[in-house]
Amino acid sequence: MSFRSSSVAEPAPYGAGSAPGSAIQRSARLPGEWPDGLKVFALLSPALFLIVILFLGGFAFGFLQSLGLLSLVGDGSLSFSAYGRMFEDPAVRASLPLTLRISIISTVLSAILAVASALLIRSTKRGQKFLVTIFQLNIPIPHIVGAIAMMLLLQQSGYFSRIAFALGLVSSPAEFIPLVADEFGVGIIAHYMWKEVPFIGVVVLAALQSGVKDYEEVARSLGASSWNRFRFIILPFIAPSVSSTSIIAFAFTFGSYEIPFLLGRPFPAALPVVAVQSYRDSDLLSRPEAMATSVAITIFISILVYLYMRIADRYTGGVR
Amino acid sequence: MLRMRRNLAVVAGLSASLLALGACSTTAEAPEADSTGDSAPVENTATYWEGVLTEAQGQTVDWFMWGGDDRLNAYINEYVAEEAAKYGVTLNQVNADASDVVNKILGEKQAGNVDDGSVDLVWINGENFATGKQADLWLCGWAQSLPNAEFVDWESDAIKFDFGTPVDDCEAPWNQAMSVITFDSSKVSSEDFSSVSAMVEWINANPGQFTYAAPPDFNGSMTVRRLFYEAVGGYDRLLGEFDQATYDELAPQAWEFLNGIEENLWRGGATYPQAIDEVEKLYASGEISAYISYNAGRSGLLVADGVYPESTRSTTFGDGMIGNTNYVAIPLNSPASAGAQVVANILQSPEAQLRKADPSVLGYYPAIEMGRTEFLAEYEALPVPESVLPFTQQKKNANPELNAAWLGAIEKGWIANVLQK
Repeated sequence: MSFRSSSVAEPAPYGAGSAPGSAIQRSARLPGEWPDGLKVFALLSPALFLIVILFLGGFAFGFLQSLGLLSLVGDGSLSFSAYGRMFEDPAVRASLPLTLRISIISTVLSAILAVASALLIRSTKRGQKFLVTIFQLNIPIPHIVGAIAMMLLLQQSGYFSRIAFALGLVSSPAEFIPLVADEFGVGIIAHYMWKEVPFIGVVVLAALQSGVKDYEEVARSLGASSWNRFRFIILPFIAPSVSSTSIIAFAFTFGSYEIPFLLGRPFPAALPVVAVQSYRDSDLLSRPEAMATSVAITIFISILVYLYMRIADRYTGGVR
Repeated sequence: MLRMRRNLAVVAGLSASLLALGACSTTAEAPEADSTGDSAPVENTATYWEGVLTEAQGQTVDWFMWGGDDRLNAYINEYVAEEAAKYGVTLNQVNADASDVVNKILGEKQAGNVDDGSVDLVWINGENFATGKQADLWLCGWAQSLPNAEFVDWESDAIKFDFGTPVDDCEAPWNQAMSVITFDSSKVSSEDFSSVSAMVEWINANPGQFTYAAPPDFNGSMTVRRLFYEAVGGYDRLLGEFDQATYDELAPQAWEFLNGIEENLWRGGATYPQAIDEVEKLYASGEISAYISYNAGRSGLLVADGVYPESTRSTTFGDGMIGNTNYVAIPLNSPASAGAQVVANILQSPEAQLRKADPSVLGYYPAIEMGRTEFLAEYEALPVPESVLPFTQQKKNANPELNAAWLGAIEKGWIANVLQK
């Protein structure tokens, strides 16, 4: 794993399970509490050091290689031709719509389901704690484990297919509709939703704990319908959490390698898979193209991170 | 010089950096022993080896290798590691794909790490070996100086060339792999694999029952090459250096052939498994009933483990299957290159090769000439499971592997003309 880190953009602003906690903290504890900027900087410096050296350093190294510099073979002269080759590569061209489709669909559906589940869980009177536990149960489960589970369930020789066969719904397991390595990416989307729904949902639940009830009571006493209460009170309250977690989810699904590798096809493959495919090409001359693809993914995700910060800024500013 | 280095190693004893220096001088010196070829004076080899043994004391060897076979891992960690411990060498198996390992060593080289690399030994195959040679990553001039190299037929082309790339004393053979067709005899008869054309007939009559992993998967790539040979009327014109004109002339026939069977492959050829493990799972779960792979002995183990059906059998095409030799190489920047040579020597020992050939252990075929050892009788008496073909039968009409440049061209061609079409 470690030696791949320079090739694939580091897409994971959150690891298994750690993010929801920190996101909750962020929305609950606000910047005013910090005593002075210098102290903050000192406290942050170990983390900043890691980010600068490991991420920016790796990125710079990859970028230089994408220009044909630092290469072990070839003439080592500066050229942007790898980017041209990247856009002409049928693997990259077929990959873009697939990657975007997977990211957009899984993020949007996850956000909707997460909000719906959070509201439902909140409305329960008894056993809420239990429901919340169940709801966030899979957050610490590693993505790879989830992907293998998806495979066992969804593939044509998987449990769903066997159940369908046993029930006489299909005449042989092979006739079961392909859900893994399928054309659309159903297996990949299903996996991402499995992981993102609780992630977004937990953050939304936390946002819903922070005093929204009082506003709702007031609105109800003034005669607001349940739709209006949702539209004008709950939605503004949870919007920052939903949008920021969605962007994190989108960036992650766009830049993640292992899930589309395990649950997808060799062609068309998600962009990070294509990057790794050319990175692992035994011909070292294709290395610049691999780096160009990684750089493109990184830039795209960086734009998303920028958007995320803008949104976070606006809302934290607004709520204050 | 020899004595100097040895003294150095003894004095240095505990200092890792000086050990590495000793390893460097090994590089410089070994070609001397090698330059005299196979008739290298035993004395010279013996002193060379003494030096290696001294240096190896206390070293830890990180062996990066394909770890997809539990039994092989057990053989390495239980048997080979124990043997290595007798020489004061700690063997540590690291699971990794060869192309990733080469990338790792490349990265270290790019970062200027010349003597403290993280890889000491790597199980390598032709293509990645050639990549490493292209970038000058390997320690050379040691393989033929190993004491057990006397059991290796260094005259044979199957040993001297690794997928057409000259070995040049930069890697040591430790295993031989022959490809076979594994099939479920309850669903298909061996007659259907008497030739490639018989198999194509069977594929077309039984849609969805056959597939191969998408190249550059090692086994998928081999399957494509075997079918490529067939489609272009034999491998004769593909041997030797890569030739663009020959490729341009022949390749379209192969793509036509492969696209011709595509619609009757698993999933209608709409997609391919990404790796051999996936193909094996498809076979184990009954989604497909035949596939081609290296590692002919493996089906016996999988049947014994209950993963594969009892009715699993192996066969070969009448005009042969592709075979190759597995090697281990040592990166130039390994800090434990002496220990790595000790491990390579253990791997080549008659005892290790016999054990590895035992179907109840692994059923992998020897890289050495068992006839040159005292274990020929034991070797010939090893029982062969019903699902596995005896090696002599597998070896019949063995087809060669191609030069790494040919491999790359065929893999890229397949991706562009079969996968992406």
